[in-house]
Amino acid sequence: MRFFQNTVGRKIIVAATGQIMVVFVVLHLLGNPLNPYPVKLPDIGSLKQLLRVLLLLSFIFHAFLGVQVAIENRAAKPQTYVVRKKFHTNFAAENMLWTGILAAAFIIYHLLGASMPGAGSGYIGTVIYLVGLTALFLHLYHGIASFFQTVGCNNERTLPVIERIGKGMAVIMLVGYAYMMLLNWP
Amino acid sequence: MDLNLFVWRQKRPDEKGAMERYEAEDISPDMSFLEMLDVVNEELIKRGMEPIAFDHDCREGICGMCSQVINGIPHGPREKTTACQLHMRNFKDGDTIYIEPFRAKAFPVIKDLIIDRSALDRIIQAGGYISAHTGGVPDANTILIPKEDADTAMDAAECIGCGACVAACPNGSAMLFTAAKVSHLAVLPQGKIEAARRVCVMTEAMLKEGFGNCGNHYECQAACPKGIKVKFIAKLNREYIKAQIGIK
Repeated sequence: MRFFQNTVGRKIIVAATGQIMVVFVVLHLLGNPLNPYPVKLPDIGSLKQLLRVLLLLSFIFHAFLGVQVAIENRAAKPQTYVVRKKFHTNFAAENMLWTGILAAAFIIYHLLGASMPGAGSGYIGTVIYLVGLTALFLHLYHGIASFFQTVGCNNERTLPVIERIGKGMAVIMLVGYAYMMLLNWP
Repeated sequence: MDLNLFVWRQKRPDEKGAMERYEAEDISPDMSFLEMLDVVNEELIKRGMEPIAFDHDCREGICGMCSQVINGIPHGPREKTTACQLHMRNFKDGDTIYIEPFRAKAFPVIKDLIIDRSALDRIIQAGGYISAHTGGVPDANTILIPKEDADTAMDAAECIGCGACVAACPNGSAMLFTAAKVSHLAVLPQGKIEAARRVCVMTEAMLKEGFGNCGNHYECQAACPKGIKVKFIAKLNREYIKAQIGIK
C-alpha cells in the first residue's frame, strides 16, 4: 500500500494510466469511421471487452490519484508571490487539474452521445466538442512528455526532444479530431 | 544608484504580513544584494525603525542561507547565483525591486524574509546518509569509482540545500532537493547499499513535511543557484522503480 501513498508511486500510476489513454486517443483517431483516411485496425474480437475494462480502470485511477495529488499541491503552496517570473512552465502545465476535469466531463458526454442521438450535433454540441477537444489538447500538451520524466526515462539530452514530440502529438490530436468534426459539419 | 524597494514585512509567524516600500539611496553597483540591504537597515536603525530581518551566513554562495525571492525569482535575476553573490550592477538606477521570502507551506515565515527550512533537514535525517563504521581514514582508491560516476555524484552533491527549488515550484515540492541527495549517494558504491530504502523513506518524508508533488514544471532547475538539473528527478524516479521491483 505504501506505493499508493508515495509521491513517486502515485505519479507513476497517474503517468502510466494517462499514457494508456493516450494510446487509445491515437488509435481512436486512426481507426475512426469518420476519418477520411482510416487505418484498418486489427480485429481483436473479445479482447475488446478486456481493453474496455483496462481503459475504465485507467480513467478511474488517473482521475482519483490526479485530483488527490493536485489538492495536495495546492495545499503545499498556500501563498503565492506578489511578483512571480516563470521560466519553463506554461498554461497547460499549470492547469492540469482543470483541463483534466473538463476533458473527463467531455469524455463522459461523448460516451453518452454514442448511444444518445443528438449529442455532438447542433451549435451547443459543437461548442461542447470544441471546448472538450481543447481541454484534452492542453492536458496532453503537458501530459505526454511528462510521462517519460515520471517513469525515469529521461536525461538532459532526451528531455527537450521528448517535450517537442509530446507537444507535437497533442497538436496532431487536436487538428485531427477538429478536422473530422468539420468534415461532418451538418 | 537609488532604488525603490518593496519588501515583505512580517513581525511574527502567526501575523499577517504585507509588502512595504523603502528607498535605497546611494547604492554602489559593486555592493552585493545583501550589502545593499545592510545599508537600508543601517538607515532604518538610525531612524529608530525595525531593520529588515533576512537570513545570511557565508555570503560566498556556498552555505545556502539566502532565502529571498527577488523580482519573482528565487535568488534574483542572475542565473546560477545566490542572492549574496548577486551584485547591484545587475540592476539599474531607479529600478523597483520586490523582495519576498521563499514561499511554501513547509517553509513557514519566522520573520520578514527569514523562513524555517528545517523540513529539508528532516528529509536528510530520514535517509540522506550512508551507514558506516567509524574508524581510521580508509586508504585512498580502495574503492575505485569511474570518473563518470564521480562527476555525476559531484554534480548532484553541489546542492547547498537553500530551498530555491521549493520556492520556485508551483506545487511547493522539494523534489529537486530530494533527487539531488538521492542521486549523489545512489551513484557511488558507498551509497548503493542503502539506495532502495533511502529513496522510499526520503520521498515519504518529503510528503510528510508538507511539500507538494513534482508536476514536471521544471521551474526548480531554472531557479537553482547551483544548476542542479531535473535529470536527477528522473534518476530519483528510476531509483524508486528499482526499489519497488527489487533491483539492486
